[in-house]
Amino acid sequence: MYISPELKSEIGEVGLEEHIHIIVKAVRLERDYIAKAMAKPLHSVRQEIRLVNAFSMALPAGEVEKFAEEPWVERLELDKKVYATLDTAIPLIGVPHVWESGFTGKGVNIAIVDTGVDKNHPDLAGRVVATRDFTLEGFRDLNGHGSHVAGICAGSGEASRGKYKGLAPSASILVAKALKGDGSGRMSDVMAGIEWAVEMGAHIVNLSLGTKGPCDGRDALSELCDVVVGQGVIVCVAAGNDGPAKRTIGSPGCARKVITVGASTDFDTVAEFSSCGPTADERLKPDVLAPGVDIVSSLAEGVSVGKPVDSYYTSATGTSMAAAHVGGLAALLLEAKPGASPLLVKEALIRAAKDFGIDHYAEGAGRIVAEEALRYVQIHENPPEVPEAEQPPPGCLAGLFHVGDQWLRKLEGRLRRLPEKES
Amino acid sequence: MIEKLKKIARKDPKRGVNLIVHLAKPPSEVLSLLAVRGVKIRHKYCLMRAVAVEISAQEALRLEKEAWVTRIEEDREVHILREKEE
Repeated sequence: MYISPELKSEIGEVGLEEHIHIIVKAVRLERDYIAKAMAKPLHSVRQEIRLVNAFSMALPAGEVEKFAEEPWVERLELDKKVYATLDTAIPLIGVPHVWESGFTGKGVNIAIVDTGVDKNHPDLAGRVVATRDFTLEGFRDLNGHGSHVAGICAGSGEASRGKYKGLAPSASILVAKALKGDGSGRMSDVMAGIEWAVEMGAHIVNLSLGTKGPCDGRDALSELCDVVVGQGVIVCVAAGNDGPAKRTIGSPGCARKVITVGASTDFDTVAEFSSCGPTADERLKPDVLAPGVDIVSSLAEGVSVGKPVDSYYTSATGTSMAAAHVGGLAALLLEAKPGASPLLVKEALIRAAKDFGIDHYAEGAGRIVAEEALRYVQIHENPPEVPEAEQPPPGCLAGLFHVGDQWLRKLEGRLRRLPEKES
Repeated sequence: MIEKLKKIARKDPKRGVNLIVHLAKPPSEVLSLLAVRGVKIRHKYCLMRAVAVEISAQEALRLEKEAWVTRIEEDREVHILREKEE
């Protein structure tokens, strides 16, 4: 019987009744052992790791030593939390290749419509060019969500010597505070924030927010987002965290012209919580996936949010984080091709995405691939807008615009073969 | 939305509700029409014909019947989309 020093130390630090996550290495991995481990009322087995005769489980800290005495247990280790930080998520989606090509978001304005931003954070200092509060609560980020999102989009990584640098570290940031410290607000305030951002010259609007789904894209917030995209502004929206149930994408994720982003893991799977389509009027959403699990980014001063890494950074999970990756990548693509239309950028992200080969109502076109998207915008011209009347009927890939496009036809055919499941 | 408003109005006609009112005219042309009804205008939008208002449930039902109002919808709550920590 062996208990690792890290696990011993963790047991000493937490209360005896507090659950602790461990990895159990067994002499042999037999069903009986797992059944025995699960038989105790407060024990829960999480994963089997058959290749090394092990499994992970959670149990009260006070019971670990007794559990270690089981004759079939070889050793117990602490199941340490691992982080898919910006320093791992960014290489995963190929952003360093885009930076090497000289694009860091210079000259691009990203609007963060959220809970405000800590503009004194070292990673964001001097980068926020305009702010406005629509909550009557004061501009300060009392939640920390907006600062975290801003760091993913455009943080400089100053306080971590570049380790936690955001996707577009040279972009300028506009901040509309439309959500209060408790993380909630009204659609009308978000709409006012979007209009202000457009008036201030935003090229990209990031909306890591939404209502409960489903929705059909005919609500005021979705309608405004579509109008804004029609004026040449890219709008990136979080899909929602109500997955894996179908029809869980709310507003404005259901808007036709925005880029709706679900969350992927560090292991290129769809995050379990990521909301799924179709929309209430049977359109395909989300459009793409981006990393959204345990992402380390800027921590606003004076707030407690996520799992802090140090005094400047914290880890957070959600499609909010995923949308911010797309907002940052869109800034790189716009710098690479000034004048690229929102439609070209959306098309590039969709065309370049890594398809996991699963339900498209969960993954959209797949996980974003930055260098491929860059290549796409560099060699393609802005596609023509498809008039409303010519857009595909519900059930087709409305919102993806190229009605005659062979790739979309193929994808559409695949979707039609998928069984319709209701959760 | 109308059914929900009727329900609220039956219980408490003066209860305030937050709405987004879609208009047939630019917002600037209906501000005085809204003012006489005691409507509190929270936002008026430039990129679409709509205003966000605070209004009593009873008055909202009357407003919905105006020819210059195309439709009304609830000014719904939105939330950040970060998962809560374990």
